[in-house]
Amino acid sequence: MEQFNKDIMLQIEGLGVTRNDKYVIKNVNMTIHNHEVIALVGPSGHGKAIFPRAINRLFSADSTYKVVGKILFEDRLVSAIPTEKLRQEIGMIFSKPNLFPMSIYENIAFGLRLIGITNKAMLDKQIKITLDKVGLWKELQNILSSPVTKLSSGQQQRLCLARTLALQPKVILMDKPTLSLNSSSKGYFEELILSLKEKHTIIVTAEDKLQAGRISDKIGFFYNGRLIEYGQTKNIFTQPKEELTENFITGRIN
Amino acid sequence: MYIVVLTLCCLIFYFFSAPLFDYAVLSSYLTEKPQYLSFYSNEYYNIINLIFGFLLIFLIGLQLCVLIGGLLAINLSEFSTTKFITKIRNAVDFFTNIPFVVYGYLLLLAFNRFVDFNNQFNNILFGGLILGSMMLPMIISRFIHILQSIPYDQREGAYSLGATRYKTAFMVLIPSQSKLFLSEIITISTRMFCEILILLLVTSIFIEKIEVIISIFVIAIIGTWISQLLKKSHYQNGAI
Repeated sequence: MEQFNKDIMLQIEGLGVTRNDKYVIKNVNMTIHNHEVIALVGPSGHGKAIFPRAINRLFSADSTYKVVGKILFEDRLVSAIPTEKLRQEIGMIFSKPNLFPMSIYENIAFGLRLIGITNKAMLDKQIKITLDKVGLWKELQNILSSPVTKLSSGQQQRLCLARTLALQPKVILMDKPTLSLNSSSKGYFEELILSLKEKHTIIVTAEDKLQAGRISDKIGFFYNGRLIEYGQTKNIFTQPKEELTENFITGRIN
Repeated sequence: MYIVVLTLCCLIFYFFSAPLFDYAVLSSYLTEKPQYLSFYSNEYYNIINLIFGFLLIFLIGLQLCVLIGGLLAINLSEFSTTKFITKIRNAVDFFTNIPFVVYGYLLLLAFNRFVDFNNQFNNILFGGLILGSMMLPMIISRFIHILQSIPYDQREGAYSLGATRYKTAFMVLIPSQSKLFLSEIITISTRMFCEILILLLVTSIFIEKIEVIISIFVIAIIGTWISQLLKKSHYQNGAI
């Protein structure tokens, strides 16, 4: 194997995903560096939501999906890392806040207990730090034992992010994280993504191209299961190399 | 409700009192010390004996069916493919529809053939085991139904944090639906209760012991009443 560049977080070569033996993603090649925000754009149903799940190996539970190709995380093959360890290093949040029907405290403590932190004082400390990171500590510090259903959808989604951040992942995958939020919560969440860039690498499936333009350093455009173009956000918007990308940016493809 | 239960008990005692008092004294029937007796012995049976025996059979059966049924349901729902679950569920549903007395007898005879208890199959452990096995298809079917009704989002949330399927089932899915599981266990207990009574009734008619039949009627009425109260209090607490 070639000497792996330490600045590269993920290297994807010839990635393909099949569902019931039909390709939903085909031959994706991508290099993702440390502390970058990558936005994936494209029409719906063209494979951009499948891509983060393939990195996280969430398909391993579903026998209808098969993944081919090579994904290198730092200098290790993703397929060779134990699933539980991998998912702690590559966290993921989803379009709908999928919190467990437990208390706020228990939701964050769940992941921490999985990595072996069971001491109450340690748990309290970690929960305070992570809630502080997503700006929820002041709002929730007095109601940590109440059920999560009492929170607004914006708070719930931020709590999902806190739950993932508690494990200190190197990469965070986000599948349309602002889909169920109102406009003010969306703005707050986008700012949060930008602030997390300092410590994490983020791959986000963008809701629309404008959001991708606001938050990302690089954009990957998916069409028909293929990665048509991948490059700097500014270049994609001003000088797209492919005609399909230009059609998408100008709104000819929805 | 109290009045109905009391009236029924009084009526049963009234109609059956004549043959009972020919046979034994009422005070000894109610207060005699429990003894380990066989159904086939000629000695007299008292109600306390029956109640304790009944409760023991009930607890052994409940433990067996909840533990094994629960584990099997989790295995089928979380670790098997969808096609396999559908096949198994069809089979399980088929067995659930058979009246339990039918295969209660079948199991009794089959167990007796395969497990050599020197033909003494009328012991409490044996009764509990048979009862637990009888309830297995029903409890598996209902537990799978609950587990499958939980949205996939919750599983995905747990998997993305690095939880295994086993941990997801025991740390997220079961606690999140604990009230539903409890209400299913209560329903199953009620069903089990009736099944024990039917089996005991059939046996007691077969061996012609009138005091056993009376005791069964009394236990049936009181037990049904208690299970009704349990269900009511459980549903009032907002389980469903």
